Amino acid sequence: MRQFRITILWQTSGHTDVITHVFHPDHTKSITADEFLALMTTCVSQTISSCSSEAQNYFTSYLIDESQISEISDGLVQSVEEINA
Amino acid sequence: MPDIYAHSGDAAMRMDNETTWAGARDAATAETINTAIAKLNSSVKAAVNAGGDQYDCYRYFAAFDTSGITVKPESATLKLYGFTYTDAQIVVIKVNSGATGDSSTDYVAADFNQTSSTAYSSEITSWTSEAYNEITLNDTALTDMASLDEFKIAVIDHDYDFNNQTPPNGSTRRTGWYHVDEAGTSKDPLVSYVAGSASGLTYSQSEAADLVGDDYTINSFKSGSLSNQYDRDPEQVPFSLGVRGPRHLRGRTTSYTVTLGGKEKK
Repeated sequence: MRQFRITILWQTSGHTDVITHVFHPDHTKSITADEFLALMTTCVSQTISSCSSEAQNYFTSYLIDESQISEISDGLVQSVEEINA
Repeated sequence: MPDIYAHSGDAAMRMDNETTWAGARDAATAETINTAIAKLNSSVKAAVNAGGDQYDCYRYFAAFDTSGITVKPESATLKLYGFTYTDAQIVVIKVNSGATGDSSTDYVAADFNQTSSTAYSSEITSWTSEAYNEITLNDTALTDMASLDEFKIAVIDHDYDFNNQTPPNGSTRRTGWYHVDEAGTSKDPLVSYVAGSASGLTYSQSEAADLVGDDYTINSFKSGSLSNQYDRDPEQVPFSLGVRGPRHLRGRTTSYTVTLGGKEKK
């Protein structure tokens, strides 16, 4: 089981979300853990809205709340790191 | 009415786009967990797409320090400040003691399946956005608040998650609220309770006061006042009734005046 920690700074409020995303063998996933890491790493230091459309889709489908989708230009991806690998 | 605020390690856990409802609901570990989220319009969610092959199951976890509660509260409510979606039909349940999250430790993704089948409330059927929603906790919850130092709860969908029924295709239920990480405490999750009283102890003290006079003369030795042994055979009572001890202890032939620092033989 591989886990990744993503931190997103919502620049207007100054609030930072700390999200752990888990790749468990039983989970239905369209991408592998390696593909996820490569995809997310390209977003570091960018706002979510500046990421590729594929990365944005992953954020909105799995990582952020629906209420935050309209604010993705405000969400700065600060870090993506693997934990407990 | 005392309040207990949830620990900041409260968590939004979610499973998204699983091909079966069982895959979403019964997952051994959450796919995504956020322990720092300020608010969610979908703190709890049970949903499936029209094709019936993408199921979502979201749960909310929180813990409260109830180590200071030793007597079962008279009543208690869980207060959650609503945000955006108001579908309701949710329920508060007990989280197993083995879950990592508690009142000083953040929940982890593996706590997703530490939910129990013990309900701490009835089904909540209405929800208000931008106001506190007060959920009455049941007798089981009140008992656990007194007996457990760590009061761990989850809020989940009632009809599909708690009752384990597969949602019909194309259905979505979402309910949202503010979490601990929202700035300030005016919208934080909390448990508010009315303290209970140790009524049995108070009654016994009152009864004893009636039966023992101020001069320590015992006025009664009926059953319920002294043990049944003395009720059956009053002669066994080791003192003379209606007079002050210890000068008149049964069988004593010499009486003493007790003084501070010694005793004087009369």
